[in-house]
Amino acid sequence: MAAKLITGLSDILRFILYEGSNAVVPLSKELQMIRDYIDLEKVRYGNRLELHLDLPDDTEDLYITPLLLLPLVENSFKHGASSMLDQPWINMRVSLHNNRMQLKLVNGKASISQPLKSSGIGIQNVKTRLALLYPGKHEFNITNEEEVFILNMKIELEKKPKMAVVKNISPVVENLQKQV
Amino acid sequence: MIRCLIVDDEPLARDVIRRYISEIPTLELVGECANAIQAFTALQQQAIDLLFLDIRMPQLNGNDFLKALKNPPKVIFTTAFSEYALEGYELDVVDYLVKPIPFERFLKAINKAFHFSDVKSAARPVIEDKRSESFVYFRVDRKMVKVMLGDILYIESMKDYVKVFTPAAKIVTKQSISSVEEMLPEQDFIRTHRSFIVSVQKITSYTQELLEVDKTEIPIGKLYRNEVMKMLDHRSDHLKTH
Repeated sequence: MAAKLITGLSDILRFILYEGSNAVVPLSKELQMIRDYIDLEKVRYGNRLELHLDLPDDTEDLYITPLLLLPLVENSFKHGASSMLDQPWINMRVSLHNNRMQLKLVNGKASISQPLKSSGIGIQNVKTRLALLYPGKHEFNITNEEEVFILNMKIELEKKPKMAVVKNISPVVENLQKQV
Repeated sequence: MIRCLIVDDEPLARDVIRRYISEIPTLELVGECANAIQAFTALQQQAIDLLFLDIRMPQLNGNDFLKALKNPPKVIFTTAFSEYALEGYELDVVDYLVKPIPFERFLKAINKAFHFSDVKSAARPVIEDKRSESFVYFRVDRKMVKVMLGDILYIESMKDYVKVFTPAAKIVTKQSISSVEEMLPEQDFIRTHRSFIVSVQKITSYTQELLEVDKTEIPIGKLYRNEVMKMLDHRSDHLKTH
């Protein structure tokens, strides 16, 4: 068990260190990292957490800016699962239609939750990155209900990284990473 | 038996590989070296089939060591750094294991080296299970009630509440129909009316104004008609071609 956790953790750290500095990474790698992260969280919550995860097996040659999805998933665990006493649950689905990726992330939350800053820094950063890196190519929509938090995100991804774009983007990414 | 040699300057790293080798009956460990110089000697003294070679080592690193060998055995690189991988491919190594090495991954490398099919590689523990059904929870009075998306027939709104109809139950919960719509996958559910969402799978018949789900007639609102008809026509086209 401990060995698995360490392997999972080191995979995540390796991704953050080595892939995190790239402008784009294969979507398959980003999703694998999400699986690794959820594997770790699953151990923490055990059977208490009800989780449905539906990620595409075939991501074709799609690329995505790295670590875009992780803060969103972390958010679900932080505000959803960990603050819920009776029945934490998360339903995450990523689907692809051609080069359009759609993320639907739904989680329960505590009804009498501590006064939350309307949306945390994690989500704010994702929004900023989307605006800079996918201008006019994304939709991002949060519905925050009393008992449930719903996040819908759609992005038009690139099939293969364009070298020119990569060069233009990386200072932006670097800057953002300094801020984070 | 496949004769193996471990070359790694870190004792702990050698421990792991030694243990893994001992787990596989066809592998035999014939020696361990803490550096490349020792490895030269070991290779001269005995026949080696498979070399587990660390890359970053003092004095001579694994890459340079391998380049210096005239008839190298099969080599599996073991390293904590993934950026050496490219050079590894140029040197024609069998596989490249990044530390910490999971046993499953080690097995895979061995299979790759000798094209074994009898050594079963334990599959990676996959937590996602697509057969596990997609679900949501709704609060009903004091209880949280789990509802499988596949069970939902349709949803009707009444002011601040929605009624969720399944074959077994009618669930009433305080939530807006729009936010329920946001929760559901859009390829499986469709808004047919200001007050109705329908499971596409459960539709048994339809006209321009009405559709039928579980023997209940559900209205199609003017605003939603185009969208609904597009979806239904597309679906029936799809069914015809199959």
